[in-house]
Amino acid sequence: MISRFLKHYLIAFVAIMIVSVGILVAYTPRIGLEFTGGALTEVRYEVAPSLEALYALLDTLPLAKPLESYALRETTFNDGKAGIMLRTRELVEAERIAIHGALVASDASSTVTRYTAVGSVVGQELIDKAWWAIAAIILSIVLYVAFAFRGTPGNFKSSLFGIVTVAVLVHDLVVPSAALAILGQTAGAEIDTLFVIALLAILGYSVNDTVVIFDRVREELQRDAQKKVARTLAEIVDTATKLTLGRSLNTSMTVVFVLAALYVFGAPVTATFSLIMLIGVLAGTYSSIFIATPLLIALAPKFMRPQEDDAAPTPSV
Amino acid sequence: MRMHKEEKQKWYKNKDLTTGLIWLGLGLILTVGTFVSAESGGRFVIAIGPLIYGVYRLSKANTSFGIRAFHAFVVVALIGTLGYFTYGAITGTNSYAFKRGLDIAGGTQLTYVANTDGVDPAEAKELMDVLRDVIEKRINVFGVSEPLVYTETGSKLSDGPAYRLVVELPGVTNIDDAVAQIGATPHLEFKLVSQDKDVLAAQQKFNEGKYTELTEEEFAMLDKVFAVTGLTGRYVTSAQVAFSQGQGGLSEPVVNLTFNDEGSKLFADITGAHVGEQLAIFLDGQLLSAPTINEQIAGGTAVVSGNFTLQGAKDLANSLAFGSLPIAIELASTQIIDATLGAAVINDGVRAGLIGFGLIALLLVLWYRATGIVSVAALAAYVAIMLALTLTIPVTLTAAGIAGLVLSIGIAIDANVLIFERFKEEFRAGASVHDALQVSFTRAWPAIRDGNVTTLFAAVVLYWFGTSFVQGFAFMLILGTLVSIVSAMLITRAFARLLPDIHVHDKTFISKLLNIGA
Repeated sequence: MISRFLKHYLIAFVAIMIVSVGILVAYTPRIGLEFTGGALTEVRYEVAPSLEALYALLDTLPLAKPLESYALRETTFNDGKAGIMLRTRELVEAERIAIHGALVASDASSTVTRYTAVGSVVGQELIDKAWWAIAAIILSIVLYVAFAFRGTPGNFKSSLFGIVTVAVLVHDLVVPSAALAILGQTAGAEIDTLFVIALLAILGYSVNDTVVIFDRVREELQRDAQKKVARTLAEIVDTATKLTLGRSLNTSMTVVFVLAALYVFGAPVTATFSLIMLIGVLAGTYSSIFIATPLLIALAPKFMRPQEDDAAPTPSV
Repeated sequence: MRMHKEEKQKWYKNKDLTTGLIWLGLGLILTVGTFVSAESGGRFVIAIGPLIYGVYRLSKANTSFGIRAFHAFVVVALIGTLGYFTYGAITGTNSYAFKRGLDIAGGTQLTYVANTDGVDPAEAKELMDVLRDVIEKRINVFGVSEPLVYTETGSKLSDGPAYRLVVELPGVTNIDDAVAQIGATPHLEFKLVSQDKDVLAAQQKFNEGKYTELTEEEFAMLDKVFAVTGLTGRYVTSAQVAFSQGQGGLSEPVVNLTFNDEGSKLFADITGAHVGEQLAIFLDGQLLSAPTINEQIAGGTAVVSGNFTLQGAKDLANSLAFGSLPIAIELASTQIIDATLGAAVINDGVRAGLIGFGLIALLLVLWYRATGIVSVAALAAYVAIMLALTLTIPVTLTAAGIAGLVLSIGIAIDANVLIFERFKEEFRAGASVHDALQVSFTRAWPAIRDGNVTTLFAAVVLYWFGTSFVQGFAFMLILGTLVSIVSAMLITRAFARLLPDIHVHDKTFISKLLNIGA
């Protein structure tokens, strides 16, 4: 089933990557406050003032240093109450008090429900950490996969498994990122720590999915080695994929159901997170069946072990 | 020969049984014993190691139905205890409660960055601990219930280790007073004024505002004007306002400091070694005064003067009495979360978890029928273990943590699916139930191991990446992955071994139940 449509799957892989990267370039997602530094205020109103009134209020607020640029948008709370989100530069304590006071002045029952201020130094450190974390995860997974599959019989090097895993992981990073880019356009989603968490969790999940299929490939290869028969790698991969298909789909479906429940019924704070995870898990399932296995077949000729020389002298005991 | 081999095998199997029972018994006595003592205020400890090892050895023993039933009963009793304990914590009938993170309980988090310039890196860690104690004392005076003050080390990959102080104030959303209180903590430093003529000349130029005349060398020298002595306000035990003869015979308010033993010795050493030099006194980075050292001062007292008003001197003395900052700090980030928002997070998270669990149970039973029921039982056990561990460790629940917990249920299912997919394959191929179970557990293990180890990698890196918020998620993922391995390999097996040892061609009701399904 894999080897028959090998070319189609490989073309689809390239197409998905091109489209996703295209989306990322065209609609590069905004980087969240936690990384850039700045302040975010959320206010909950009984009777919400108009955005125009708030713009006028903020523009004329007497501050030591003008706000210059800021972003203001309307939000809705779970219970239907209206609110606003204000994103500004870093504020000193006096400025924070002044702005918060002005925002809640129009409505006695309004409250500041959330205020987050992050220094730019802390933000930069977090960005560094995020990159390192993603790099460290990919490296450790690849090394582990190459190590775990080191003794696999067959006429190709076991590092093939590691290399294919990298391609799969890149796919699983790019697709949810493209999804976030689209969510950024439609729902104002940003790259925040929850997004990085989601990406890392997706990596862990997807590689699990891929390893299960590889594991079956290894088992079939070992069986062949024992029985002294030689199926082609394509045949073995087909068998392994077919045998693990039920498990792959069943597991994905359960995880998808959990995430869907989290998305629909969970807290709004984790809604974007669940949606990204959902897309990532679907991408991960697709990639382990339709990217990992075709790549395994396609790349195997490039990872041939040097043929052992039959005439080599046997060492004397 | 053959007889001998069989006897040996039997002996091994019995050894599994006895060893398993002994470890299990030990673990049970500890767990149930501490559970009972927890009712009357003791600490509930789950003897994880002995229990897991006992159940593992027992699951290896090939034994009669009676023993298998007992094995399953033990597991059920254990899970039941954990479930009852968790139920008690939720309904408030025992003293345990879920520790709720700031994003759920509502409150304020203030993060301060410490300025460790000129501080010996080896000493920085200790100074941060002193800093934490000082701020903790201040916050306690402020009267917040269960405040949390802790230090954090920044990423080692950034420029040098950055030390941070995090203050969490549950329930406080009006932070004006808190910020002011912490901000009022004085940072008093004693520094020696350089004796180098070039350095002083550069300083002189700078003070006179001749910035353009400064050469690059001289500019660099400005950093050397004051040398850190290590003597700071942290060694001050008490401070009083006094009056001294000021300029023109007027009396001027000053602050008398008394050092502790360590501080007294340090002060005596510094003054002894630098007679004739100037000792500059800084308050919150501002130079107060720089009196000349006339002789060694051994008594452990110092006088701080600096054109104080009476009120200014009083404020400083009061502040110093609460403790002084060993390192200068600066507010770097603030987070305020309204409590009503947090309540919604936990309600929604629990609801999503229950609905997710219900959907999964339905799917598993539809797909795998008899073994599906076994999986659901094992999964319920998994949830009970996770909740009990969350309570006893204790893990602080955050929105991200709850998401991690819900997600880890998905991971736990995967192991069951792997095993029972394999079981179905073997069973349909003609193996008896117990033979098929044996094969499916053995064959599924490498996949479960490799898959979970990679997930663990991801989770451990996440934990390392983490600010406390991310760590909640990562910790749940690590815990969930480990518990899911135990749940699949031991609990699922204990339950599955209760299935009758039949074949697919037996055509009994149960064999049909095992055969049908997707």
